Order: sequence, then structure tokens, then C-alpha cells
Amino acid sequence: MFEITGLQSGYGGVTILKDVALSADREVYAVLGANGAGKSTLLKTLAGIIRPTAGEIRFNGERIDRLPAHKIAALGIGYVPQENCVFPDLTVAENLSIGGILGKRSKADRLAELYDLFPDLQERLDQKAGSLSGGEGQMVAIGRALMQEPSVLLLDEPTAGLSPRYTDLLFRRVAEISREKQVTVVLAEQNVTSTLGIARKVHVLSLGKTHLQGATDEVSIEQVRQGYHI
Amino acid sequence: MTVEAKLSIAGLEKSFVGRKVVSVDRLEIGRHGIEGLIGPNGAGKTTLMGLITRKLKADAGTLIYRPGGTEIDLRQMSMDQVARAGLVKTNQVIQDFETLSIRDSLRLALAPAEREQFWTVFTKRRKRDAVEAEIDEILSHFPFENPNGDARSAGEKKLLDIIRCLLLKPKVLLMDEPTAGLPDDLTRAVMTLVQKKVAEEDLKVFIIEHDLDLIWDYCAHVNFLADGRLLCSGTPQEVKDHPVVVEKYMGVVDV
Repeated sequence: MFEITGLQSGYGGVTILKDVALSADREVYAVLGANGAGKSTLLKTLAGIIRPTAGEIRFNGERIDRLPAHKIAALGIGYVPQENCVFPDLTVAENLSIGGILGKRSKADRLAELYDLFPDLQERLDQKAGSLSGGEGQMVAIGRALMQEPSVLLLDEPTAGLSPRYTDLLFRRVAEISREKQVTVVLAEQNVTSTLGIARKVHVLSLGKTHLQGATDEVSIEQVRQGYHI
Repeated sequence: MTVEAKLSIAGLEKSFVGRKVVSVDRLEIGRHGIEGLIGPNGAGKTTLMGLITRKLKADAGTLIYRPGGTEIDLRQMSMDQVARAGLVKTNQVIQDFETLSIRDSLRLALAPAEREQFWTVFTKRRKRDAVEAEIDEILSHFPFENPNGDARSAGEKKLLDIIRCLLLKPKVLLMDEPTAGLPDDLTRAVMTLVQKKVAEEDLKVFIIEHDLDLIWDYCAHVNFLADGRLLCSGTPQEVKDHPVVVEKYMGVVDV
């Protein structure tokens, strides 16, 4: 269970997120909104990359908003940033192994599942991650987080740069992972229709504030889109 | 009458650590207003653009650019010379002048190129005033939260990159996944502006994109690249229906 109350956060004294509250539990929780709405700031704050200036973040009842990012990751909270974020001088296999340090099951099993999701990565294992295409780098970043076997997965625009085939596959797999492994997925996306198709709850941010939140089956796409035009 | 291509590519090859990433026998760009380049992740699309802009050096092949009346062998040119000749590329991965505000970043794109004195657009009021109207006009199309402040979100930075390239008044604009990270309404606003420039300024556009609706809606001609090779080209409908494109790129895979 992931619970956030009264969250305020930003950069260099500038407040971006204002009084954001949410609760997500073993479900896909969609975070939508226009550029600059605060989606990435929210995910960075949850991952401990930036520290909130007010409010609380609780994970399974424990406060985690004062913990450094590596301790938050060790709790099983995986984060895939928006920017293509791989270790460029390490090979694909090494990048994935780093994610694997935190998981419990055998690495081989986890890698096999990953190759089901991204078969192309298997052909690139010995290649330096910095020499991959943008989309392939994105696959490695997502793969590294999945190797961690997280109980919470924070995904910031994971489909940016992926081909239609992989975009479709990734949405399906994210839904599967959440459903079958009881993983809480907080998913920030630009692809509104596909995101609403797999999310149980939706949270629309506008200029750092909550414009709308609720169950996806009780919210219309028009209501969501209104949050983009404020 | 056949329109002469702005860019002719022949026998172009590039390998990285023994792996052939680009192997394009023949490709003509600039016969149509907006042309698309689609293909799976790792097909070599960005590498192909890197070879055209001379960010990367080709192992073999020719790259002939015709900005108007003249014929230029791009292999003899440096990256900045290519850009000065009007062949400009937007970036897939965000590139930003972190210390410049949105407005200053746009001023820089409009800075006078003569004698390399670009800073005069900041220091000389007359030169600064000369570009303000154009900046205001372009900003009226796009809802930056604070044009006098920094570009904050990844989407704003991406948008700024595209606008900067348009302000350079290119003859050929290469766009590498311009819409990744942008919401639908901004994507359409960008493409509407690009269409206007194509119609009014004879701009030619070559665009890499995974948003296939955008490709089908805006491109007059589409090329499909896979494993570094150009496997088919044609109208959007021809490419959409091509069995190789369907097999290698589109549709849902059963897993």
C-alpha cells in the first residue's frame, strides 16, 4: 500500500506539486497531465530523488519520505526515469545484473521473463548500453527495474521511443505484472487512451495540483482531457 | 515533372563494433513535403540521421545535398557546416541550454550568423528588438508555462528544441521522434506549424516517429527501415499494407 497525503515538492525553492494526495494498492495507478503538470516531479519525489517540502509518503504504513533514494529502492520500489537512463559504459547484461542485485528469485528465471517481454535485448547482451538506440535503451531501463522484482513500480513515460509493437506489449505486460504479481504500478504517460485501458485509478495533475482523481471506470476521457487545457 | 530530391543517398553504410547498423542502397529525400521514416527499435533510423548531419562518419557511400541550384557533397562537410547549409535536425533525446531561459534560447536561434557575433542578440538592443516579434509570434502557438523562465518539464524542453530548429529556417528539417514525451494536442500543434512552414517556405521534412497516426496523417511518402536496410517506400497506404511492415513492425504479438 502506497499512501501520500498533503505532498508538496519542487526544485530549488520553486514549489511544483501542491497538496497532492493519493493511495494505490496492487493496481495500476495512472498519472496524467500536460507538460509541466508535475507528473515527473511526483514520481521523483516518490522515488526519493527529490525530498518533499511538506506532506507524508507511506509505504505499507511506514513513512519513507525522509529516506534516501537507495533505501527506498531497497524496500522494493523500482523507478524508471523519463530520460533514457542506463549505465552507458556497461553492457546490457551488466545493466540488467545491477537491477538483479535486489531481487530474490534466481536471476536466470527473471532474465527469461524479461526476454519474453523484450526479445531483442537477448541479441544485445554484450553490447554497451550507451551504443543502443533510444528505444532499446528504454527497454534496458525498464528491464533493469523489473529485475529488481519491485512491489512498487514507478514508470515515467515508459513507452516514449518504443515502437508500436513494443508499446502495445509493454502496456499489456504492465497490466499483467500488476495483476499477477500484485505490484503497485504508478504510471505517468502521454498515451491517455492506452493508459486508461489498463489503469484502475487515474489522477490528473494540472499545474502541480490535482485536477481530477478517481476510478477509471467512473471518469470519462473528456473529463481527463479538460485537465490538459487549464 | 519529377521534383528533384534535396538529398540523395547511395550505398550508405555504417557499422559499430562489427555490427552493420545502416546499409542503405538508395534513398531520395525532399521530393515530398513531409516524409516519414519508420522502423523497429534498433533499425538504424537515428544512426541514418546522424550520418546525414555528419554527427557520424559513414564507412561507405555518398550523400549529396541540393539546397537550391548547387550540389554539395556532405562527406566533405563538418556538422556545423551542414547546419549552416540549412540541413537541421531535432533531437530524440532532450538537448537543452540549461542556463538559458526559454526566450533567450529562442533569441539564440535567431541570432545573426554573420561574423559569428551571436551574442549581439543579447547585448545590442536593436538586434534583440528585431527578433522579439518573431519569438512572440511562435510562442503564441505554444503554451509554455513561463516563457521568460526555464523550460521545466521534459515536454517543454522537447518543444523548445523543435521550435529552435524551426527558427533556424532550415531547408531540410530532420525530426527524430519529435512527439515522444509530448501530449496529443501539442503534437498536433507542432505538426500544424511544420505543415505551414512546408507550404509557405518550401521546407522539406524527414521525420522519424513511432506515432503511426501522425505518420499516416501528415506524411506524403513513407520509408520503412529494418536491420539497417530500406525495405519498402511508398504512400502511407502502401506502406501500411505492406506485409513486411505488418510482420516486422505493427500489430500485436502474441506472447
